[in-house]
Amino acid sequence: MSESNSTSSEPLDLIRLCLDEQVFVKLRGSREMVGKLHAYDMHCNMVLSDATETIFYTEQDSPEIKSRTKKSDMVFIRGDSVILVSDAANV
Amino acid sequence: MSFFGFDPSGPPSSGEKDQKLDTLDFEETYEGLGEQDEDAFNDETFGADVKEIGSNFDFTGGLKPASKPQTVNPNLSYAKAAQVDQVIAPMASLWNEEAKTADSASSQPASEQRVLSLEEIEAKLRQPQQQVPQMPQMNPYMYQQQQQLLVAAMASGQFPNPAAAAQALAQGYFPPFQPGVMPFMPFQAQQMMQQGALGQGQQPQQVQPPPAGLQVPQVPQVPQSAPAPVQQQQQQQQQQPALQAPQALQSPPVLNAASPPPHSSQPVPQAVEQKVPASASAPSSSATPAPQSVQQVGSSDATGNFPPLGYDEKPRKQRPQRQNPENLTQEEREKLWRRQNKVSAIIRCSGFMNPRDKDFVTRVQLSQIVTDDPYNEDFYCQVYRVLNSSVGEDDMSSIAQKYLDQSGHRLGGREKRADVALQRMQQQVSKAVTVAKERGERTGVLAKEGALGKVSVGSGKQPRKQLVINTTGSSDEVVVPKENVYSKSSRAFQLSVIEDIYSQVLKLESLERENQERDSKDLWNALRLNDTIETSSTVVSPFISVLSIDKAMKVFNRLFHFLNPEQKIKLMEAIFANLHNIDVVMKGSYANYVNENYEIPKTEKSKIELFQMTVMKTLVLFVSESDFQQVLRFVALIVKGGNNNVLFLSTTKIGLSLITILVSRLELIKQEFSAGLSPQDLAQWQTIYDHLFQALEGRLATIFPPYLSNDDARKVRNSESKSDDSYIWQFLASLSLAGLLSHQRIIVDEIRNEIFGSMGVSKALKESGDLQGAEKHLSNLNLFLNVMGLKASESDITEL
Amino acid sequence: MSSTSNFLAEMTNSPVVVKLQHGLEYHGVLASIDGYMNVVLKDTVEMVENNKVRNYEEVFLRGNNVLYISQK
Repeated sequence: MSESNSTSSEPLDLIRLCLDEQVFVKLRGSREMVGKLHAYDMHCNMVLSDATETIFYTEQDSPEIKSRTKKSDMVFIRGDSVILVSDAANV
Repeated sequence: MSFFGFDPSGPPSSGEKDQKLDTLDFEETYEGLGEQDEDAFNDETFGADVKEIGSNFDFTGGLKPASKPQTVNPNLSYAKAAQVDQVIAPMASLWNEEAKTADSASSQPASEQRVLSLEEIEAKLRQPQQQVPQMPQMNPYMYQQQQQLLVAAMASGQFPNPAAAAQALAQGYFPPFQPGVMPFMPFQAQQMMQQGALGQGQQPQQVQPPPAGLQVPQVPQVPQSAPAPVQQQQQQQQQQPALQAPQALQSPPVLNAASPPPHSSQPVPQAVEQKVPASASAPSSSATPAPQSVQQVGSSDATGNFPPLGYDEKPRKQRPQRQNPENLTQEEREKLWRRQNKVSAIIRCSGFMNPRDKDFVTRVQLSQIVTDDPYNEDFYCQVYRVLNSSVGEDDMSSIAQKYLDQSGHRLGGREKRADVALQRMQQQVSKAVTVAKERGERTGVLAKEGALGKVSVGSGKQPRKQLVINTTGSSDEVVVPKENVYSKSSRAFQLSVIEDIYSQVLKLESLERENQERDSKDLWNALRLNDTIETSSTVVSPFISVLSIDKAMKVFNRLFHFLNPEQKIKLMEAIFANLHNIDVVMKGSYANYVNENYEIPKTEKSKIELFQMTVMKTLVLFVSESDFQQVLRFVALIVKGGNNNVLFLSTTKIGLSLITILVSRLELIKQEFSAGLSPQDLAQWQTIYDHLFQALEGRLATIFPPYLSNDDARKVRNSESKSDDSYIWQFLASLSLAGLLSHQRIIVDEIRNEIFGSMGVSKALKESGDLQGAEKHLSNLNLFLNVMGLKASESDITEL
Repeated sequence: MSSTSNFLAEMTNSPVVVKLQHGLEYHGVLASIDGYMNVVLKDTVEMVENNKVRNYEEVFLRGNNVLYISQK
C-alpha cells in the first residue's frame, strides 16, 4: 500500500483513527474524560462508552489540587467543551 | 497613510485667538494641490473675522438662509464652479475624460478678469432656466456654454430685478457650506480667490459700462457692515501671504453666514459683461496676471462664494420652478425666496457625494467582492494610489473608466441612460455574487472578502472556517501542507494501518454482496506484512504490531475471509513466527507481573479474551483444516524461535493454547490419517517435538501461572486464582499424547506437585461442599492423566 | 491565497508551540492543521506555566481554543 495511507492530512483524522479505541479528552472546566470512542463529528461532539470523568478542583485555603471521578456507561460530549483529544494509550 | 493627502503630522496650531490662525496647520497639507500660489484676495473673498461678519450680515431679516446672498461672487463664473471637479482631485483622476474637461473648464476662469454684476448673475440664472431647464447635472463644458448664454442674456438686459436673481443664484447655485465639505474647500477657495483677485486686477482695463439701471437698485438692500473685516483681511494677507491657505480653509464655512454682502453689490459692474465673453471665448488662457489693485477688489468683491463639492447639481434643479423674475411682484419674490430657502435647507446636506462618487464607491465594493488583489480591498490604499498616480491610468482608473463608459452614466458615460446604468449595476452585482459563490463552493465555504474583513457562511455539516488552508495542490502558488507521515512507531501509524485494512475489507465486502469479482491484492498490501516497523522491543511488520489493537482483532476474521489460500498461509506463518511479538500475547505472560502479584491488568485480560474470541478462533479454524505438513510448519516456526521463545509462550495463555492446538491437530492427523503420512513427515514431527520438549524440559512447572498453581511452593493467590486452568492441562495432555513414554514420565515428574495439589484442592472443595468445583478440578486434571491411561480421584491416582 | 495560510501550511512537520487560551502550552511537531485551526501535534509536551504536565504521542487540539501557533 502506498505511503499515503500512513499520512493524515486533516487533524480530525486523528480522532477517526481513535474510533473504537480508548481516548483521552481534556475538557473545559478542569475535566478529563477517558473512554472508548464510538462516534464523533467535526464539531468534536463525541460519544464515549465506559467513560471515566475526572474533575479537578481546589478547595478554599488549600492549593492542593484534588480530583473526583465519575463513571458513565455511555456519554455524549458536546464538542464546544473539548480542548484536546488524544489516544488514551499514549497519555 | 494620509487620506486625501493630509499630513496629520502638520505643525500644531499657533494657538492664537483668531480662528483663522488655528487653521494654519492645514496649510502645508495642501501643498501642491493648488498651483496658483498667489492670491491677494484670499481674505477678501472669505472674510477675515468670521464672527463679526456673521452676526452683521442678515440679508433677509433673520431667516437662516439669509446669508445666501453673500454667496454671489461676482468673480465666480460657472466655469469656476465647475472647478469642483478639479477639487476632487482623487476622484477626478478616475474619470479621464471628465478630468480633462474639468481641467479645461477650470483653467478658464483664471483668465476671466471680470466681476459679474448682480444683473449679470440674474441673467445667468435665467439663462439656464430657459435653455437647459431640466439639466440636473452639467459637465464643465455645459457650464461654459451656459455662461456664454448668460452673458448674452445679461447684455440684453433681461434682468430688471438683479437682487432676486442674485439671491436665487446664491441659494440655488451656492447652497450653504457644510462642515463636511471642509476638506475640499480650502483648495477650491484658494483658487477662487486667486482668480477673483486676478480678475479684479485686470478689470479696469477691460471695463465696459453695463446698463446702468440694472445694477444699482440692489445695492442698498445689503447691509454694509463688512468692510472692516475685509480690510483687516487684506492687511493680514499682505503681511502674511503664506497664510492664505489657512484662511481659506477656515473661511468657507463661515462665509455664507458672515461674509459681507455689501461687496457683492459693490463690485465694479462694468467689468462683468466684458469678462464673461472673454472667458467664454478664451477658455484655455491661463491665469497668471499679477494681482493688482488689491484694495479695490477688497472693497468691491470680498464675498467669495463657492459651490461646495458636489453641490452643483441639485441647486440647479430648483431653477425650473422659478418664474421669470421680471414678472414677479415683491410679494411673489418673497414667496419664491422663502420657498427656495426651504428647498435649500432640505438639500443642505445632500449632494456631498455626487453620483460619480457613489459609483466609485460601489465599484470599489464590487471589485472587492471579486478580486484576489489584497490592495484592492483597501479603500485607503485605493485613494492613495489615485492621489499618487499623477499621470496615466492605473488599474483602478481604467476599470472605473470602463465602467463609466459602459454604464452610460449621465456624467461620465457615452450614453446618457441612468436606468441602463442601474441595470448594468444590478447585473454586475449578481455576477459578482455568483462568482463569489462559486469560489465559495470550490473552497467549501462561502466567503466574501471585503474591506471590513471576510464574511463566510458555515453550515452544520461544514462549520465556518477561520482559515483557508490548502490541502490540495490546485495552484502553483499555493503552498500545500507537507504530507504528515506518522513515524512508524507511533500509534497513529498503527491506527492508520488498521484503517486501511478496514477500508479494504469494507470494499471487498461490498463487492461480495454484489457478487462481483474480488481481488485481495489491495487488502494484502494493506496488511503490510512485508514492511517492518520498530517497536520498543523488536522489529516486526506493522500488521503484527497492530494485531493487539482491538479494532484489528475484530476485523481479523473478516479480512482473513477475503485472503486467498496462499495469503492465508503466509499470514498464519507470519503470526506463528511472531507470536511472542504480538503485544497481547506478550503482555499476557504472568512473568511480566511478578511485582503485581502476577495480576494481569484488567485491560490486558480483556484484550486476551478478545484475541481468543477473534484471532485465535480464526486460527484454530484454519489449523483444524490444515494438512499435516502445514501444521508442522507452524509448529516449526514456533520452535525455531528458540527455547526461550517456547518457554515464554508457555507462560501465556494464548501461546500455550495455540501450541496445544497445533500439537493436538498433528496428533489427530497422525492417528486418524496415518496412512496419508510419509515416514519423513513423522520423522520431521518427531524432531520438532523433541525441540519443543527440550525447550520446556525442566521448566514444565512454570507453565502454571502462580495464581493457578496448586504447588505449595509456587502458589500465589489473586483475583485470577479461581479462573479455569483447563488450558494448562490440555497442553500437558497434548504434549503427553505426542510424546513417548519417556516424555510422559518427565512431564509427570515435573508437575507432580501440581497434580497432587490439584487433587488436594478438589478434596478440600468437596469437603467444603463445593462438589461442582471439586469435580471440575478433577476433570481438568484427568484431561492430562487420561492421556497416559491414568485417572485421578480426590485421594489417589488409579489406572483407567 | 493568504500568506497566513501559507505560513501554517509551511509549518507542518516542524516544531511548534501552540498556546491555548487557558494558558496551556503544547510543544510538539505540527502534524496537521485545518481551517478551523484544529491542530494535531506529534511528540507533544503539555506545559502549564513552564512545567511539564504530560506527554502525548499524538494529540488533537480543538481550534477554538488556540491562541497562537508559533514556530520554535
